[in-house]
Amino acid sequence: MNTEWRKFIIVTFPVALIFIALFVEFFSYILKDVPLRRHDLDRLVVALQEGDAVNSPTVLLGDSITQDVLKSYRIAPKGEVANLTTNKASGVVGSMFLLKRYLKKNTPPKRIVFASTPEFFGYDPTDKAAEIYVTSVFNETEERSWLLKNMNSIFNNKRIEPAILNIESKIGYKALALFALTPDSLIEGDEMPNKMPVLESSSVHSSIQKGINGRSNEPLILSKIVGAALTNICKMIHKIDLYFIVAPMPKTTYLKRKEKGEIDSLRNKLFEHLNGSCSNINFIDINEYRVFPDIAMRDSDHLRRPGWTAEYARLLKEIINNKIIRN
Amino acid sequence: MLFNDPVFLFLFLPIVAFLFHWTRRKVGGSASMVLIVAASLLFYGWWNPPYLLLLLGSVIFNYTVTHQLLKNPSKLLLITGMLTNIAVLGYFKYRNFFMENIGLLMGENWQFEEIFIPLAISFFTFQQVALLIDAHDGQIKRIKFLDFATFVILFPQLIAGPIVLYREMDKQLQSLRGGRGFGLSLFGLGVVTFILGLFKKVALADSIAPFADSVFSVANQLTMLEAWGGVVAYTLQIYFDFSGYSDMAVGLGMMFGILLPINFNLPYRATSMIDYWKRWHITMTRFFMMYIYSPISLLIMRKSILNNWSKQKQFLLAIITPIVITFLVSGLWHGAAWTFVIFGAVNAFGLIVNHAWKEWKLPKPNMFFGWFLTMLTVMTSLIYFRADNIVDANLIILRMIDPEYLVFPNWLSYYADYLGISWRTLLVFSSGSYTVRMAGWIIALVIFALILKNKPSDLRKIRPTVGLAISSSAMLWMALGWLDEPSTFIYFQF
Repeated sequence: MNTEWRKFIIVTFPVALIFIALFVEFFSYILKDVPLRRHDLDRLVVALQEGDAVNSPTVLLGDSITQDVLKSYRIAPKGEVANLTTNKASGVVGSMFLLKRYLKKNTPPKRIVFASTPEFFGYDPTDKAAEIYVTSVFNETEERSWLLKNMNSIFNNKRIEPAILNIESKIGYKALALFALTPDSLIEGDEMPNKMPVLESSSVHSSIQKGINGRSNEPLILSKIVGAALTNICKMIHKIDLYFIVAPMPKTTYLKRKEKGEIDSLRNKLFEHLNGSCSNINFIDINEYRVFPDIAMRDSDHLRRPGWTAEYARLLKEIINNKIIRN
Repeated sequence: MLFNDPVFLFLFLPIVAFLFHWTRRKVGGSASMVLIVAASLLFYGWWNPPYLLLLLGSVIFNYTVTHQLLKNPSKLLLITGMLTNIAVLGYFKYRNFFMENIGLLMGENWQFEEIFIPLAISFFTFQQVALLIDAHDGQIKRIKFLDFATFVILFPQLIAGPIVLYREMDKQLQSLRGGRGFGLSLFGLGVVTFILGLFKKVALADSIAPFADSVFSVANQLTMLEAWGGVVAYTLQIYFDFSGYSDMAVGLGMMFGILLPINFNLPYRATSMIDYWKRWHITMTRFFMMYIYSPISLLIMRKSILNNWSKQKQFLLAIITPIVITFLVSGLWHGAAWTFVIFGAVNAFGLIVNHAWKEWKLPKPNMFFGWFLTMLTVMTSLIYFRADNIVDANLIILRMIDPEYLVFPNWLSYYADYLGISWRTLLVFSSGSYTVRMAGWIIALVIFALILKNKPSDLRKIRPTVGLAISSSAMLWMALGWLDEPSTFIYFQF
């Protein structure tokens, strides 16, 4: 090896390695307080942190079937319902943390409404989903200690992770967040959900039907972690009214679940679990108001736009206004 | 052991490199060669120790035959040696394939248990067959067992090439044994080349792989755009995977003072199929040209001149026939399945068209058009290469060309309605963010594939500058950051 290359291997290259690692670490340190804006949940968290107080009497929680609908449609006058819906990946745990963050800036609501798929109550985030939608989003001391106590397994075992080995999260997403153009706020659709013509029967694409059939065979459970999160929600606000609205399900899934008594069983489990923690618990199944045929779905979990999403928004609006708020 | 496995990177490589150079300087060249052969056996045996016996048996058998051929270049001995090698390869790699096809011909549907193919069997078999031919033809004058063993077993090139010829290694091995050779003079460059390969494999190929996999796993449910996306993604994945492996092999060779040939030269810049095969898997192409194509072509050409054949007949027999045979063998070499045979056939077809175009002096197409046609042919062949079976491959091709499958994803419904194109929720392009990420990777990798050179025009021109240190460090950190779970190299299966 000539002198030049020897110097390269012994000095220049190792120094460059250290220099780059330190540079990235420094850059990551500068960006450490930049809130992430990778997905809707990140943006919702930023909106709760940086936006003005809304002090709504009703807080709406739920998973993507409801979140999807509320992006387009308005279900209550401005400020009446705070939309904290998110997607399934963050689980009920994510909803609990969102509510906790909401309460830091807003007066406690009178009621909390969960409008979600029933599967939401059996889902615990794990692996990559937990990292992207839970641990990297909710990392305040209190949140971390709750997660460590109840969901210890979702944390990776790396005690110290240099930024250079995780540039994507520690620099990439944060740098992208700096370029976010629009200010973040709680999502409220503008359109009023009027009755629209919908396709009630037609053949369903085989891949969608396969997904629906698969969903129908998934058992409905109430997970232990979800149970703990719901109990915590009830502890957060005294004398809260808690409503569970079962979101639209494809007819095939709904009939199968009904036949097996799974929906009643889930309701009983929720009531049993929360008995004593929450003062008033209510359970409403939207599928009893209207059948959602398989053709209403654009995949196993989400409704077709625009007709069926408008239909769900209309029903949700009716239920929230007539059965929940006026109650 | 994989080149991108932390055990290899942080334990095996530093220890073996240190011991190798220490032994070379303190004990002698032969001792360092014994050490690297032993390390290579450990490297190979790490995967499946019992197959070490097969490798050792193959080396001892071929060395004995080579030794005899050097003393007495008998055709019978050469054929026996070649057939033995091919029989072993056939037994381990092709027996199910042939039996199943014989069964089908007899109207039976024989199903056999999946066989475990010894790692790198195609590579070390072909390398040794070439050596037997060279020994018979007098291209090699003498050979020592240690040189022979190092040539076959040397771990940087043992698993997936480059396929080296003994004649290009002969002098290097002699120098190494004599304590001369490159020593540490290429070490720095080797480190840089290895890092480039690691970056290509871990950061580029492994990042685009899930997108390609998601498409090929649902061949019967794809739309036109998804099929195109998946095929382009796989075309990029295989290039960065294999050229990354080859760069790592060349870099490792340099670290041990051995120059291995480069396997790729910007293949996706090729503007014709002839050009493409001069740039893609160069050492394999050279092997097939030297030992299959040229002998057949020369034999037929001689006959053609003696019998004064017409131009058409000459083209048909002296060009088309050897191309077809070479590429069908090449296809089968890649794997014991009809998909690989079709992969070879598609490439053969492209080459035949290319040769015919030249032969009949048709107007030279515009460079971009030539590149487009070449890439289209390459991608078509790679669909068969990657698909689980011919039906899936045909389906993917059909989806790529049938306008009926031009369906937009639901999140582009606004534009679809505007353009009058149907839309629905798609299986692969299910969300905008997933599709944008896939498109981003494809664009980035296309740029890399077109600009990132595989071989410097002159190694001595590469200077150990600060810029080189910074770019290599950045690539190494990025590769290490993505090194969660090492994934195998595509070419390991061959």
